Amino acid sequence: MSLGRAWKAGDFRLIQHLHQAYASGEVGVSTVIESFISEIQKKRSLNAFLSERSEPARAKARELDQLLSSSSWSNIRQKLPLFGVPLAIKDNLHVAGEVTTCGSKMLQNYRAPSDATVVRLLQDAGAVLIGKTNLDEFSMGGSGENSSFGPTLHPFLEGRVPGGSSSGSACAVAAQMAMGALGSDTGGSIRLPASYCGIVGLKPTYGRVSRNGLVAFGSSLDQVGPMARSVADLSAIYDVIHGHDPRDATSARLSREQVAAETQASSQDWKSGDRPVRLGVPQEFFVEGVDAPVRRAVESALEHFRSVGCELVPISLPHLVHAIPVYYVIAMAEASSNLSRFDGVRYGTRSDEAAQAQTLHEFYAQARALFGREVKRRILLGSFILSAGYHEAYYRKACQVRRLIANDFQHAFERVDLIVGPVSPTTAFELGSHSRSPLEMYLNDLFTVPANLAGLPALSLPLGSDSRGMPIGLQCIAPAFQERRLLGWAARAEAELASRAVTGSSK
Amino acid sequence: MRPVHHRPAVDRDWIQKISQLSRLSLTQVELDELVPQIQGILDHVDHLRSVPTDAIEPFFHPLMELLPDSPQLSLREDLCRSDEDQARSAEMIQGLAPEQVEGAFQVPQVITSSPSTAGTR
Repeated sequence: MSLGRAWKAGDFRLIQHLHQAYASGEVGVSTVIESFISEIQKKRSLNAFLSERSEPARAKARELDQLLSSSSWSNIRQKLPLFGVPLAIKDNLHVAGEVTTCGSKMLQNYRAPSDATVVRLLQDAGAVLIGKTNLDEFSMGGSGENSSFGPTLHPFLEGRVPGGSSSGSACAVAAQMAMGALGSDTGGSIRLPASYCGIVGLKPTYGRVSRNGLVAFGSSLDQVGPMARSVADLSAIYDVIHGHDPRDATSARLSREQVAAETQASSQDWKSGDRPVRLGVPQEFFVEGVDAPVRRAVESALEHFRSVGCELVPISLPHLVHAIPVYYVIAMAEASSNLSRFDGVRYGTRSDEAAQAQTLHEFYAQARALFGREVKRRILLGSFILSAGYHEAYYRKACQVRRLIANDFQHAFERVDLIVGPVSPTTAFELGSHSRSPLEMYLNDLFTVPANLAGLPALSLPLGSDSRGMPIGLQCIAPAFQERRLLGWAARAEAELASRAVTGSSK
Repeated sequence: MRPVHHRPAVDRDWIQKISQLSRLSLTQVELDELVPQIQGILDHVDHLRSVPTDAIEPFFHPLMELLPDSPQLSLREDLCRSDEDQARSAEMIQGLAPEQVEGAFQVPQVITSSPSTAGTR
């Protein structure tokens, strides 16, 4: 079916291009999938994948090719919106009968009893899952360096981190080993690597996407979300994975009125009703410590958006300065509870050392020796935070300040439609540069954790690269359940940035 | 005013104690590294003490905040579900366990009659 042409994974920039090729009969699914498998094999040194699913992917491709030869394209496209699209999934999401490692030696042999809801939804939509991607152990880290199976490397910047914790997903998408991917975002784990690798990433509203089959880290913060090379592809994946799931008690069930309001918002991409969209620009996002190239890129993009019809509104989120301590207290407390199940009995590898233990406490301590340093550090601090006598002073206090942060957003959204600023104060930093100081690494999450604390949807949009070739991301935060408005605006913003780049280069 | 809490002195002994509560064993090298790291993180967290929060209700979970009227915030009925389409048979689930004997999961022995394990509850 390839008509003599040698197809490469990079020939298909967008899902739309791929689907045009399928529709016209230019190429079949197996050929496409084979080109992506070969790309993954060529780029193994990036360490983006923890397991390659070449055989299941080939089988699925054959099945889809049969369908392609026996049904009309319009019929297929309607029923299977992600038909033949090679996608990667973060290795903290379950595929029935396959290993889910969470980037940890603790789960190196763990086989999942069932599919994560999002995995089932993707497969039912015709997607081909080509592999499970590397991550910081249990999603704890912002650089991709904390995996028990070695760090993920940056897809095109030697010696730099790809960002984390959805490091392998970002790398796979940016290096054209997949057309899109799923990540999870507890404090920036989708947006940060998307920003460092120059792709698009969405953390949906808390509860918008099912967490069933996602290994829990911070239960009041975790959300699964898509990563892709364009807003259109991001939307296509989001459309398939979101919605209420009876298998997740914290999945949001929206009322009919809420769904109707959301659908209406989707058509108002650049405008809000009949007035210009109001972009809130928080002063707290442009403070000392933000690298000059990041600040310049974000300010210049905002100025451009203003010149093409958006209104910029200076705002303040006064409690944002407390976001890091609030986030880490809550995330560590929730992590220490969630990770107690990894004891070598209920879950987790039963090591030889553990098997020889004389007492139960010794057994647990031996079994849990498989955790990496960052995970141990967070369990220790989380256990302390929740301990008798300190629970009020730390956990309760953090939850009180969490409300103040959420209130700041609520007040801001009375005056603006969206909130914009940088994703990260820096671009991709050097491998190993932050490893001595965990606190320094935590401070890097300052602009991403607030959306998780308040439960709001937030997106990372690439703004191109600075003079050294380092990608920079713009973050855009929307009110709860307004993903459609967020994606609609981002699609237009992406187009405006692309046309600015063309005009700029022709000068 | 709430009573001012006193943070424990972060030293090797204290970290050792917390590690026992967390069922973690730490090497000497890890202990040495952790003292300044945990000290630094708790110093940073202690900035929260200066934020006035006396009349502020804690925000525990986004669902309660974003969808306060949702009926799903109450417990559902505990029923057998008919829509479980996946073949999650007992044998399939059991096949995923590291050890099994005659239809039962096998786990490490935790109760013995030996006095040397008296510390084991």
